[in-house]
Formats: sequence, C-alpha cells, structure tokens
Amino acid sequence: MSGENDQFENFGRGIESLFSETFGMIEESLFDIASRSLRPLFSVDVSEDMVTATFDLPGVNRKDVAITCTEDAISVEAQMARPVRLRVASGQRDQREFVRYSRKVLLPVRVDPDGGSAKFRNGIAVVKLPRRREGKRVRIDADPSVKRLRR
Amino acid sequence: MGIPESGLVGTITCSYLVEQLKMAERGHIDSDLLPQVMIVHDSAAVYPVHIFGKEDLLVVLSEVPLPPFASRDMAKAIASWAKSLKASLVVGVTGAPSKDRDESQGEGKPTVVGVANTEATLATLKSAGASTFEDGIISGFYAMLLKQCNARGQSNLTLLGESLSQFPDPAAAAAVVEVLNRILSLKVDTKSLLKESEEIRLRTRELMQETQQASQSGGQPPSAYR
Repeated sequence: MSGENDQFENFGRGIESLFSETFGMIEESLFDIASRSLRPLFSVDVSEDMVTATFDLPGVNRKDVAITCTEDAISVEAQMARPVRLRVASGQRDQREFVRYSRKVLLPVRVDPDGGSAKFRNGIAVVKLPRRREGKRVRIDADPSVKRLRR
Repeated sequence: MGIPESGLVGTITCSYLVEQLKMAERGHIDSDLLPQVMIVHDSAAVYPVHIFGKEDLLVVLSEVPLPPFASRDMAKAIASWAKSLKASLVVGVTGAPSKDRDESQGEGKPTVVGVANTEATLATLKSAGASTFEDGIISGFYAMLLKQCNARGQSNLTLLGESLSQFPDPAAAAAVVEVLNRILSLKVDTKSLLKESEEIRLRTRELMQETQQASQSGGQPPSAYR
C-alpha cells in the first residue's frame, strides 16, 4: 500500500517539476515541503547578446551556492546558513522547517554555458551567460532569369 | 499609505512603522474592486487593507497587490477621507525600481526621492535627506493618489525609495523610514529593520511573487520611470 502511495507521490512531484520548469513563475509554489527546500524568487532578463538570471537567496553564504548551466537551463542549489521556519500558507498555524534553496529555470533562448559568469552578494546571485548565436548565413544564388533578360 | 509594489517598499515600511510605534488597528477598507481574499492571522480572518492609528498618525497598509482598475476609486476614497479628517499631509510610500540597485545586488544605501504638491512640503523634503524628483513619470496607484489629492487641495507627498526591481528590499524601506522620521517627527530606529532584513526577505517572498504576477497579468506599470 505504501509503495503505491509513493508511486503517486513521485508521479505528482514529476508533474509539478515539469510545470515549474516549463512555466517558471506562473502560479508556482515557493515551497517544496518534501525536500525541505524553498524555490527562490528569480528573474530572467534577455538582452541582444546576454541572458542575466538573478536569484534571491537570503540567509545563504557564497560558499554554499552551486550554480550549473546548460544550453537552455540554469539550476541553483544553495544550503542555508541555518534552518528557517516558515508558514507555508496563510491561516496555517504550524510552520515548516527549510534548509536549502533549489530551483531549475528554463531559459527562453539558448546560451553558451561555457561563457558564463556569476556574482554573489547580499544573498543575491546574478548569473550572466552569452546568448548562443543560432543559425548560419545562407548564400543567395544569382538569379538565372536576370542573365536571360540581359541577352 | 503603503501597497505592494516594486521591492515591497511601501508594505515593508508601513508594517515596520506599525510594529515599532505599536499602532492599534482602527479599521479596514473594503470594496468590490479589491481581490477576493481575506487574510487569516492566528486563526482570525481579517480584511487585507488595514487602517492603523496612534495619536495623529494613521497608516493604511495593504497586504494584497491593488488591481490597476481599483486604483482610481481607492485613491479618490483616501483623498476625500484625508480631506474630511483635515489631514495635514497624505504620504504615499513606494519603491522606484532601479537598475543601479539591481546591479549592486542590493548593497549600498538607496536614495529616496519625493514628489510633493506644495512648496512647503517640498522644502521639508530637502531638509529630510531626500531629493526631489526632477523629471520622469510616476504611474499607477500613487500617481492617482497625487492627482486626487490635487483635485481636493489636499497636501500630498509621494516618497520613492530606490529599490531592487524584482525582490523584496528592506534596505530601501529603511531609507524611506529615515526620511519619514524627519518629515513626520517620528523616532523610529531602523536598526532592527536592517538586522532582520534576511528574515523579512524570506517572509515576504510570497507577497512579492503575487505582486509580480499581478503586475504582469494586469499590465500594471512600475511605479516610476526616471
């Protein structure tokens, strides 16, 4: 019986993470009670040649932040300096303890993960990644009809 | 008067004043235009737009983002009410999203600028450590509040603390509290606001997310452009 429940729970979590990765900020819970982690607030700014992602990580020291990037996503994992107790919904009396932050954000454009740089100050992580230049220039052939007209 | 906007400066500032000055809740504002929510504190349901008072100071504090279509009626109601109370000054408190502040990742002391509709208030602003807002646009609720106060001959001051654009910014609120101390002759120490900054940022995450979502879906522009 407990095995079945676990399966459902895992399935639910899979769906939830699929949604969070796909739709980012939309109506997503900022808490993951099962893993005692908070999903940090974030923002993504896309300029002509750069993607800047910013994560709000209050209560974290620089050495405890791990950032990984792929061509289309940034993941942030950070251990809090000490656990925090927060109410997960208004009206709920009991508080839950959280020990870390965890979030994967899908980027709206492709980036070069090797060219990235990050800064961490005041509990705010800023990750800058160069945009990947997509596509190759296609040569336009001379128009044969032009030749015919000249004849 | 504080509602959730950029950096949650208005809400953080007003809740800090209420807490530090031990202001009692005197009432609430309700309207069909407000979001359909009740806030539950310690098992008791309360209206989300509170009125707190102590001596001759009243604080209006909203725990929900104000829908853009509610701005005009809310501003009208507040301006008329202030006029009927013969209020000496209506102060709107909010944040001005700042690229510099985003780039410094919230370090350093944020500046505070103010917009006032009387010469006398403008003069106090300069001596209170804030600068005047020279050129730019203020929009949304606070612009409407200024307009409605103007229409009734009610003194108004809008204080904009330079703030992070996407995250709660208690340091910006602390800078605004310092200016309010001088303008309203208060003695509110900002030490614990700065000390508890991390805690406040953690506890206001959800309100920040709701505020971002409200501004995206309702097309509400940032509170100020300069």
